[in-house]
Amino acid sequence: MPPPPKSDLPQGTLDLLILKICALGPVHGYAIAQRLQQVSRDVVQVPQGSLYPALHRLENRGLLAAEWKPTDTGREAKFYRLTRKGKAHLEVETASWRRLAAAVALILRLEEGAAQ
Amino acid sequence: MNWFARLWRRRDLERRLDQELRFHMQERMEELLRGGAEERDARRQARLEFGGLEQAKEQCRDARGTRWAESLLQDLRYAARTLLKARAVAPIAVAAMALGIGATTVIFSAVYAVLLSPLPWPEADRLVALHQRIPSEPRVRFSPREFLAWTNGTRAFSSLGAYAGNAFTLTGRGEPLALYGTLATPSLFEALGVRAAFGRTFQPREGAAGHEHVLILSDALWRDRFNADPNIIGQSATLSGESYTIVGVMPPGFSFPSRRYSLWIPAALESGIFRKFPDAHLLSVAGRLASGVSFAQLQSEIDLLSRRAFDQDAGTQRRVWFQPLAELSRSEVRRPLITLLSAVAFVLLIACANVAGLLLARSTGRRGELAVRIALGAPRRRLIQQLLIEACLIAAAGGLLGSVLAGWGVTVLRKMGAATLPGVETARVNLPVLLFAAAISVLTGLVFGVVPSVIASRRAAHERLRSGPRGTRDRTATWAQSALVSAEIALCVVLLTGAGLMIHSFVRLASVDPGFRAQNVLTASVVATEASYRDANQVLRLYNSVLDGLRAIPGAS
Repeated sequence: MPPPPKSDLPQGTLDLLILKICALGPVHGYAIAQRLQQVSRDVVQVPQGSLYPALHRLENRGLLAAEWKPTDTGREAKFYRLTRKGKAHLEVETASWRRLAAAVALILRLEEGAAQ
Repeated sequence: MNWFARLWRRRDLERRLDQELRFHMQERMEELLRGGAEERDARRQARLEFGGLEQAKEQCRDARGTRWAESLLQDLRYAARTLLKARAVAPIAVAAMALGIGATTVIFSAVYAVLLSPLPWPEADRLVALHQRIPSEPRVRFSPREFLAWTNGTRAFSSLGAYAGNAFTLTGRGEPLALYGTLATPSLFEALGVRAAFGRTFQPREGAAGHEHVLILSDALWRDRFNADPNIIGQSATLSGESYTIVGVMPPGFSFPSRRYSLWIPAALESGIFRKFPDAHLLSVAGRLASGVSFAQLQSEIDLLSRRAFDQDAGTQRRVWFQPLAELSRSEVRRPLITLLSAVAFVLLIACANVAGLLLARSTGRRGELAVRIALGAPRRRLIQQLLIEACLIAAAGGLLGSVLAGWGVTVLRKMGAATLPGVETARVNLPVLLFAAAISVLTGLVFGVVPSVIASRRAAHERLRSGPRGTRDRTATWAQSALVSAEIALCVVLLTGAGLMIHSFVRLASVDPGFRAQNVLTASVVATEASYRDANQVLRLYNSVLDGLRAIPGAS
């Protein structure tokens, strides 16, 4: 089966997804990329070149906190977790996204109806 | 980690960044290996999927938000290294800037001390001096009668005071001392709003006859003649044969109307000389505007009261006018000081043009280095930033050295200028002056740096280098250098002409013949106080004894 078409994410949306993944527990960058790909069933594949700048930006804004911890393999990795400020931001942005998505869906449905 | 910490720990962050990105690639590689790929293929695949490692690092570095500060610091270190190696150019440039900035700072310290430093009176902009003007004389004083009329009639002033200077002899405290003092109404101190350091200023009743034998000392006189005695209040001093009780000592730095006057006694307008000559124009007048009164309102009140007062003198051309009290002492001095400041600013400009030319010549020798940087992709902005920082570093070094020179120069200025510039004795290199030196250092660095850096960073010049033979002349740079030299010469001519004219005037003044031979002649004044020498005969006897004593000195005639 051919791989499903990749969708390019606008930057604000990428931040939102990263925050959501980190809300589930401390996780390092590679795990975030994997999780995003798995959960979205390969639709969302983030080029690593934009993942890490986004992670660092979120960390500098205080929405994520980072810690270097050893992994199961013994190597050290940088684990990110959500801060309280990040949690608040996540809630706000999730609500905003849901509103937007609902509005877009309404408009799209309207076109189909008008065509009848 | 806040912004400063991110800047400070840059090396640490770089290491961690590298570690983080490599960890990602290794995890991917291991995942591919577990899937059965060969090691070389796995590594290649992981790297391809990642995209460029360096590009990702660059983006993460941008995300740090400290790039601009890092590049500035980097340029600063590089500039310091290159300047230290430029043994020919750097010392000369720094010396030129040191002279220019030093001279400007010295004159500015005088300007600050005389014209800009805050006055010792609270809300000094509400203090106003009154004068009368007649066609032949712009500043005429007031008579006691006129002053009393003004005091009673005015509503614009919250307090109005009068004062007059006089010569006194202080006896009984060491050698007799001739000095100047001020007779001042108690309302004058009220208007000025200053309090004594010890004791008090005059009370209103001391302005009346019988209570006026009290005395306020200046800080300088108190230290000089009264040994800074802390128990001075209540003691008495003999002035011109009469005894006065000391009631106060003013704070250091306070002087009114100028530093010439070292003590104050009350001006009792209903007695003494003021009573004898109620229409003599003896009194200078100064007062504090009542709150909320504007200068326009003051002017209209003056017009009103003048019309009332001068209606009796039909056809008089007397006008009353006012000026801010601060201007009184400063107006004569303002013009020469500003002229000096302009002259020294020209010197600074000449130094700037000089250093700009030096830097331009030097950049010609660095063409190779700059061409390589352009080829590597450095934006023009970055090259200009680098060259400007070098210029500012030179200016900063010059400014530091110049401030040190200024410290010495200000001492010289204080001694030289004390006679002609009142207030210059307090000139010193204090914080405002240092801030000024720092500001003009940065400004001059930008000014003389902008021309060489813009010219040297032009891409076109470097591209021409690629094809042409080595040693091609950069036409624009040569033209700019010639322009700078012309500008320097023009400024020098202006300065030399000005100096020449001033010297010419001075020589003419000095060679004016006073009509007598003035060599080896000394003049002196003798004050015979009224109290001890009550009639003309006694005074004559005094003068004769002085003349006899003088004749007895060998060599005098």
